[in-house]
This record gives sequence, C-alpha cells and structure tokens, in this order.
Amino acid sequence: MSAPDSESISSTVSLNEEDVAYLMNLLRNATQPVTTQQLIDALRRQSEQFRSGESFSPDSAAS
Amino acid sequence: MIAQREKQALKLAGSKRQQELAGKVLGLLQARGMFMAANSPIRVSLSALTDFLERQGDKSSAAFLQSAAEANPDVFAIEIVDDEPFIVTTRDGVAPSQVREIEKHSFAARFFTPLPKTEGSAVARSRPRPRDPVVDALVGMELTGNVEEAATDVAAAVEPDVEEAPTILARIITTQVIKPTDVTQVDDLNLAVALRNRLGADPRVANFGEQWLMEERVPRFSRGDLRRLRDYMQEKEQPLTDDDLTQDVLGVRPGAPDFELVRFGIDYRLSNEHREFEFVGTGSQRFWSTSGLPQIGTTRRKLNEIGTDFRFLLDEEPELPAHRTRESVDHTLTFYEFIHGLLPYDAEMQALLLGPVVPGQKSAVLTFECPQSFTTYLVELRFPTPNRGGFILGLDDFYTENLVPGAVISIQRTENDGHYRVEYVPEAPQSNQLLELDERRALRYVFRPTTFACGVDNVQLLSEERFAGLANEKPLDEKIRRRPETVVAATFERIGDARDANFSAEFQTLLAGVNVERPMSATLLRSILEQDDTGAFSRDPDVADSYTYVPGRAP
Repeated sequence: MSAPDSESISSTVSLNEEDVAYLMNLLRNATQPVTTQQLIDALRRQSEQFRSGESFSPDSAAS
Repeated sequence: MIAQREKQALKLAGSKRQQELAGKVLGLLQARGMFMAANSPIRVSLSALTDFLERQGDKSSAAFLQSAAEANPDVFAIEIVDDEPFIVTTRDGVAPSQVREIEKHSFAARFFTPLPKTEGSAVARSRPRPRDPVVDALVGMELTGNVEEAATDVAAAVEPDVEEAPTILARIITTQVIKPTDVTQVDDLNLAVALRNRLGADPRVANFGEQWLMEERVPRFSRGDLRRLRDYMQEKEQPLTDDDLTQDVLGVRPGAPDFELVRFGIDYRLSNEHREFEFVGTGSQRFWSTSGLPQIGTTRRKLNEIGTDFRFLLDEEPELPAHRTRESVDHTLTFYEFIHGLLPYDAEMQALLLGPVVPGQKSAVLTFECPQSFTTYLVELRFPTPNRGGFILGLDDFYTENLVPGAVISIQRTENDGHYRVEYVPEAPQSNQLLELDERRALRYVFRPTTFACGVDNVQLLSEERFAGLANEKPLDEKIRRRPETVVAATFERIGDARDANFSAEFQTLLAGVNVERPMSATLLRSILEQDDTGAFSRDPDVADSYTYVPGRAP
C-alpha cells in the first residue's frame, strides 16, 4: 500500500456516474470501514451482472 | 398580541335589598362557573337559588329573587326551560348575549355553504380530436414535375374545407441509459487509482489508507479526547498505534463491535489535525506521533545532515520504486552506519520496505525484530525528499550489542508491512583490533581490541592491520566531508600505499575507508574515480581493481 502518484492517475480507467452512485450506495449501507479491495470486488461484480443481464436481454434472445 | 382585559366595578340596580340579593346571586353564579369561559353562560334555576339562600338564613321569596334579577338586565338574563325559570349570567358579570351569526365569508361557512354547481353551457365546447401524425413519406426524395402537380391536385381534392384544429405537440425526452464501466479488463491497481481519484475528492466520503466510509458515520472526538490522546503519547514517550490509542485511551476493546469503527475514526480524525498529530505508520501498523516526543535513534548528528549525507541515493534510486517486491536484503554495515545506528534507504531497501502510505508522509515507524537476541527495536524510516536521501535510524543498540562495522546482516520482510526480521550470521567469538571513534576527550579514531561473534565481510572489516593509517586521526572537517571527492582524496592519504608521492588503494579497501567519514555507495565511488576530469584519480595498471591518487591536484 503506498500513496498514489499523479502520473499513474492520469493513465488509468475512469469511473462514470453509474459506478460512483453504486459505490456511494454501498458505502451508505456500510456500518464498518470498507477496504479498497472490497470496493474493487463490488465494482467487478456489478460489471459482470450487467454484462450477463445484457446477454440474456429479450432483444438478444429474439435475435 | 396579548391584551389584558380591565375588569370594571359592577354597579347593581334596584332597591337596597334587591342590590344586596343580586350581589349574592352574582357571587354564587360566578363561584359555580369559576372554571368556565369568560363569556360562557352560567345557569342556575331560581328554585335552587332560593333553597340555597334559605339554608343560609335568607328568607327571600323566589318572586323577590326574580325581581332582583330583572332589575339588573345588564347582569342577569332569565330563561324559562320546561316552565322553570333559570337565572343566567357569565363569569364577567354580564348577561350572556346571543351570538350573532357572521354573515361575511368565513372558513367554517365555506364548508357548510358550498357554491352551487355551475351549470354547463348549452353548447358543448368542441374538443380537438386526436389526429394521427402525418408522416411525409416523400421527404428527402426528389419529386419530378408531374408528381408534384399530381400531389397538389390530390391534396386540393382531399383536403376538406374545415377549420384546422390546433395541433398538440407531444414532448418526448429521451434519457440515455448509463452503463456501468466494464472493468473486467482492468487490473486491481488501476481500479484502485480510479477509485481514489473519484471517491477521494468527494467530501462525503472519508478515506484513510485503504479504508473508506461515509464521513457522517465516522466517530467524532472532542477536544478533550484529542488532548488525552496527545498526553498519552507524550507519557509513553514514543509513537503509538491506533490499536493502542483505541484500547488504552478510548477504552474500546478489540472484541467490541465498534472497535474497527473507532480505530478508523482515530486515523481519519487525527489525519485532519495536522498541527498536533502526524501519521508515521504503515498499512498494517498505523503509528501516530505528536510534538514533544524524543527522537528515535542517534542524536550525534541532525536528521537533516544525515539526509544530506545520503543525498547521492536520489541519483541511484529507480524512478518508480517497486516497494515490497523483495523477500530479503543482505547488507554489510559500514562504519558510518554503525556509529549512527543507520541503514540506507537505497534501491534494494526500497524494494524490500514500503513507501509513504499517505501523500506527504515524511517518515514511518517500523519494528525490527531480532530473533537471535529476542529483542524488537522501534526504528524510523525517513523517506527521501527532493534534496535529501532516505535512511533508517534507531538500530544503535542492536549494532553495539551484537555487531561490528563490516558485519553482514539480513533483513527479511513479514506479512505485516511495518514489521521486519533482522538477523546476523552467528559465528564463533573472535578478537581483533577494530576501529572505534573515541569520544572521551577530543574526537579521534582509535583501534581497540574487540571481541565479536558475527559473520563479517573481511574486506570491509576495519582492522588495524589494514587501516592503521586511521589511528589517532581526527574526523574530517565538515567542509571537507561535504564533498565526496575531497573525502576520497583524504582517505587515499590516510590508508593508501605511498608510491612516488602518489597513493594507491584497492577499490574495496577504499570503499570501507571512505565510509568511515560519510556514506558512499560503490556506484558513487566508482563514478568519482572513473569520471575525474582533474586527473587526481586514475586506475592503477599494476594492481587489479586499484586506483591511485596524485596529491596536489584538486579533485
């Protein structure tokens, strides 16, 4: 664990409003401190759920 | 506004006897209705009044009583209920008046008198009929003249001669669905940076190290709590972890459900108290320090001066150090490191140890455990600054109790990023005349018989037989020490082999000798010897890996 430097920040992926809203909701429901790794895992789960939802949507099923 | 009603003196009419009787009756009625509203009617039957007065010894007849009441119409009213007369008054002593209905509009009247239903107009208002949207299928197509004319004719024929109803345009707002970012291809490191970038700037979110929580949920501490935390650190005379502070000062036990929360509260709140508290911890051992604590490690030399001595490390460290990528590091102690209880925070140590946990962190308190002596030392890692090198201090006792300059030690990391194991090679005890700094009178280098039981690098061991030239030498002046080149020149003169007014020395011997005065890496020493423009230093062609120094040529 070390402090981030400005160079790595500029070259990384950026989160959109949907991601931030999801994380904020997660933090609002937390009664204990949440680690960065837990937030990362939650983001990954959300991303996977959205992708699997997309692949089984009615449109894709019809086509 | 509150207005006080003035009670006026009551004047009763009638004969003297009637006045007296009316006064009595009024008193009786007012006593009966003492808890009633001021203008609420107080009713008592005439017969009841007569009976009461008779029991009191007043033999007035009912007719006389009624006449007394009638003589005072402003005070009394007489009501007949079921053929029985009642004398009525109010608490104010005035006859109750009939409340007149309010004729003007009131809120209550509004409910009881609804407006009559408006009659609809005889002619029904025409409503525009919904019409199918007209789709012009020919838009965008080139029309020939015949088609245009035909279309105009058809339109004229079909179009009825009716008034056009106003068209209602429906507003449809289309919102774009925001998809969550696809993070399946992004590694954890980049995601962590992205998280820190977005959430770290949000004032609603509290962050310390790798932990996050909504700011409103983080426990708050009073000024008194903060003072107690500071006093406890000063009492213990050393930096303390958030664990210790949570348990010892705030009294929250590790098993308690809110222990983690309070611990995070300490870290987050103290990190905002820059003037009083300083974070000097790691991810696993979150140490906090405050003003007035004794310095960890040597007091022989100021920390700034040591940092300046290690400045050369800034040129040798990688641009992006890969912290905690090495399992262990072996290191040979120099004389300078031994007398100050130091270790350099060089490229190897950076790969073993950690970097700053929070931005702007100046130092980190680590624990070095020596299993051979069953001792754990509290050491301080000073991070590099733009013009000073990094180093570790606080190992004075470990060195003096177990080691000598030239000893080889091994430092291993553990799962805890703030805790390390330091070991030396145990050897059979041996004695030798080794270099020491005599501080009893004037500062002077001396050789003293020393017994040690640790593994050493014999080339770096400062024994009298190899470094006799240092005997009784004084430490170099600060001006000479400041420049590495002049220190190398002085070392040649002290320990080099004199040949035709020149001095010659092997590289490893020179490295050990130079490090008596100031820290210098093999890389720096090699570059000074190889890249000397003055001609003072040159490679010795006769001996392998040796150099010569020509005095008089300013390095």
